[in-house]
Amino acid sequence: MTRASVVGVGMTEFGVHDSPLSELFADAALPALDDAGASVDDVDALYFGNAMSGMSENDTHLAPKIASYMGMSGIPCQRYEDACATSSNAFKNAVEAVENGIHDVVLVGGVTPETGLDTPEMTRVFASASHRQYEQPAGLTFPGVFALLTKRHMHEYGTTEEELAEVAVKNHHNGGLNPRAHFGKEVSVDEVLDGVVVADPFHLMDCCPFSDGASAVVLTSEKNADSFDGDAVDVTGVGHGTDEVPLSEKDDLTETRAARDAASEAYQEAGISADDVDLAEVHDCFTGAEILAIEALGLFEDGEGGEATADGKTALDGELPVNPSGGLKAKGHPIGATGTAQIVELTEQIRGEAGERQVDDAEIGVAHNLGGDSATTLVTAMEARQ
Amino acid sequence: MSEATEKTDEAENELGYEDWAEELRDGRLVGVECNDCGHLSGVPRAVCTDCGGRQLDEIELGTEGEVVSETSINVPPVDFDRGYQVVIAEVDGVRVTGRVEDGKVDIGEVVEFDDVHESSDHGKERPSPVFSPK
Repeated sequence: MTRASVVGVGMTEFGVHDSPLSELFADAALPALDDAGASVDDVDALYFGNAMSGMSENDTHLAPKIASYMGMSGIPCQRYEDACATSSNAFKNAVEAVENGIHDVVLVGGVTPETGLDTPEMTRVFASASHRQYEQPAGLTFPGVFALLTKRHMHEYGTTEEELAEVAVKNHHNGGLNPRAHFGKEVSVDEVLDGVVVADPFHLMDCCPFSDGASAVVLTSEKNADSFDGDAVDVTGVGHGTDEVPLSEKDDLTETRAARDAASEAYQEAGISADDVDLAEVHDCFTGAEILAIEALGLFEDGEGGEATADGKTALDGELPVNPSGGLKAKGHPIGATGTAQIVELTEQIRGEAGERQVDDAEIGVAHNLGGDSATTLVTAMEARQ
Repeated sequence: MSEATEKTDEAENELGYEDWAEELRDGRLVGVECNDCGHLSGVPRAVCTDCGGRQLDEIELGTEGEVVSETSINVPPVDFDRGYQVVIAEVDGVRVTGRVEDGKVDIGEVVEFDDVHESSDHGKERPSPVFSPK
């Protein structure tokens, strides 16, 4: 069942930007409005995602600042923060607002601007999503969180570093076909494995970059969607799961429970199963995270995600393309923008507008966006309008 | 592996972070056990995650554990020196996050809690358990 419809999408290139937060967001949001054939006067509310700018830039109370810059002050503006799952949570709440008739037209998106912080400082900022008392004092880092989950997966299922590297090889290739990607070049498994180790088993190219960027979508009700210029793509299911923080309190380190719960909810709402999915945009902040994600989504059996990747099953021309955009790994990961950037990619793929990285017969897509200690995950199902 | 889990204080069942930290500095790993259902947790909580019970009794854990997962952190946060592992160790039925500083351990190895690492958080010292290979 359609819950809401996306009628306009926009995003900046992900990479290095100098512009202030509001300007960067407008560079995604105005193209999204243009795609919909809408003006700011049509927007009834702003649902906005940003993570950590309070810490890294001393910049808070952001949603009204953005609305002011975009000439939309006066409308309800709300801001969401759920670590890396920030803007998909904004999106979920926007879907609920539209389907319940609270707002007719909503602008949803997220931004992470340039910070100017060096790697040790940014490593500290990203570690803030881990438990302050029981994890941060050990020196756990953002790569370290996913390294702990991935090492356990390797132990239980025999997943190899080479299979992890295959995720990076695939996503770098896809990123090379995406003009908005931070990175994109052909790399080999050996080149990935020759890189410096950040947190074992992750080498440098197993890790997503720190990126700046913004993404935005225009959301409206199913019945209003046809009055906009942009081809509507329907949101048919949104699941939102949570799990324990710290990691040590999770029942299982490899299942990513929040993702399984979110996927079940999204599939049930959409009336689909994993077998119906044509493509997936998943949260590959690290190569191991993509393996965990495709298993949690039910796209591959537990323990088989690494082998499936090495066999090319998740490649653009594989049986189930995963991260055709290049994913966080190559497209980039401006954490506030990542969730709605996945929605942008699914919309363009389902419209058939993805250019060189277009997935054949893309009618049903899912987005999997995970945050902090894998304690938040949102799964969104989108479908071509029938 | 080590001595059985036992209740250390029947009367005081409110374990907060400051108590946990103080016990750790005194060489004791502690967790909580739900008085209603017996569910164990490695960190203080207000409410039992299994049954909703609100009486969570402090329990003292042993010092030996088995490594459930580990990673060597080569790019640490600011104010941390590289060259340590972060481990999750299972100790008497609960899991504890800590560090290994001397040597390197793999999943399945037995480790012993024998030290505390202090790091600074906005001027406040925060302890983390340190385990050694056994």
